[in-house]
Amino acid sequence: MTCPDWSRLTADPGTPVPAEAWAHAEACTRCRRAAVAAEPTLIFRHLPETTVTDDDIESMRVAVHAMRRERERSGAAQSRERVGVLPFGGSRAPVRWAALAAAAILAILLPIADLTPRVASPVVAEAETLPPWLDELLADQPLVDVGEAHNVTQLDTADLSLVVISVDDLEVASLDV
Amino acid sequence: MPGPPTREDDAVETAASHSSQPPEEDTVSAPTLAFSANRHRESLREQSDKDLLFALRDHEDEAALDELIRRKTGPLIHLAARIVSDREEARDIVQMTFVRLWEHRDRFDERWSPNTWIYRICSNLSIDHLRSRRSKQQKTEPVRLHLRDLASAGHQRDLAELHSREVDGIFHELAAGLTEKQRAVFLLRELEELPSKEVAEIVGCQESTVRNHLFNARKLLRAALLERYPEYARHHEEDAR
Repeated sequence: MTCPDWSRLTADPGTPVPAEAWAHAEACTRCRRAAVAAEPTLIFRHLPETTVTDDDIESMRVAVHAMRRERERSGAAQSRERVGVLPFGGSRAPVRWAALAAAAILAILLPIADLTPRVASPVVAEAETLPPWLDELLADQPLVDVGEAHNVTQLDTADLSLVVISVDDLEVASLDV
Repeated sequence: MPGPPTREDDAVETAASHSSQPPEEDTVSAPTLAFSANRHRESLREQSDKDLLFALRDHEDEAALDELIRRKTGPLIHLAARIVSDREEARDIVQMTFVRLWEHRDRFDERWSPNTWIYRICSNLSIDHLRSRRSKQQKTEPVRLHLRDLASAGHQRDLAELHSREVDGIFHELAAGLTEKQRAVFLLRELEELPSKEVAEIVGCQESTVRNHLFNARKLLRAALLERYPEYARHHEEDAR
């Protein structure tokens, strides 16, 4: 590209300088001076680039998900306050919460009720093969975290936030409410 | 477009792996819920930005959000830092941009360009942030003093020869005299080189208004530059004569 007429290119302040003309000026000292002389604001094309590292991206990812979950939790709490219902008293999905309550009670009571020595507890059996109703219920929920040997699933409604952690190595399946 | 992995997929995978193992090992095999998310994440890397936004909207796919964070963090911090003139504040703005992207995922319309959609959220947040900060902003002139020091030491250069850090300082100082929209339009149109139509959609105005903002931004910046740094703009003045 030959050196362009910078007076003409910068005559209309409402029209940006074509990218190819500026690319030429970057490599041509005489042209760069002529360009900035014709339109001083062209120096701002030399603003520094922002560098972002992989660590910056990873910390951004962690921060975004933490903030997102916090806002979802506080949003759910505000909604509960507005409606004035108890966590398990929600009217949107009574069957779902009744089922989860049953699962939580089952997880607590089974080890107490069965005191005989055993190789594998009933709870372990629950963890390895989830009951179809719980499997179906969890299938609709977003996964918070997935690893080689664990899963974290979060069940959110306006009334309750429940986190289910399935860990391969543990002998007890826990439902933390 | 393939959706995120489902638990039905996992069940098939787990059943297949069980069939190849001895029966006694079945009792200690991986739980039914386990599945590989890595394969899904890798497949997302090949998808377009638009497909990722669809995955957010239609499947609430968090891995799609991760992929957008991987792709867009750099350009968005770049844009926000130029608008608000502070990298740390820009980082907070970009974090909120991704949170909004998730919270408003159901509003994404395929008529939008993905970049326009994401840049719009980011530039609006940046403009809001700038407005709320305006009253607290202090006027400092470190760049001018620095350049005057250079000039008195016999190192004076003309505008075309200034280093990018010096240009950055001058821009932050002079851009304080622009309105938030003028600053955003100038950056998006002049430096990011986005088409007027896209800038209009991002900033939320008509194309003709974009042109007016650009005209006024350049006029104000040029006047401030000539007023505050006359020794560096002498070529322009000579040329004008």
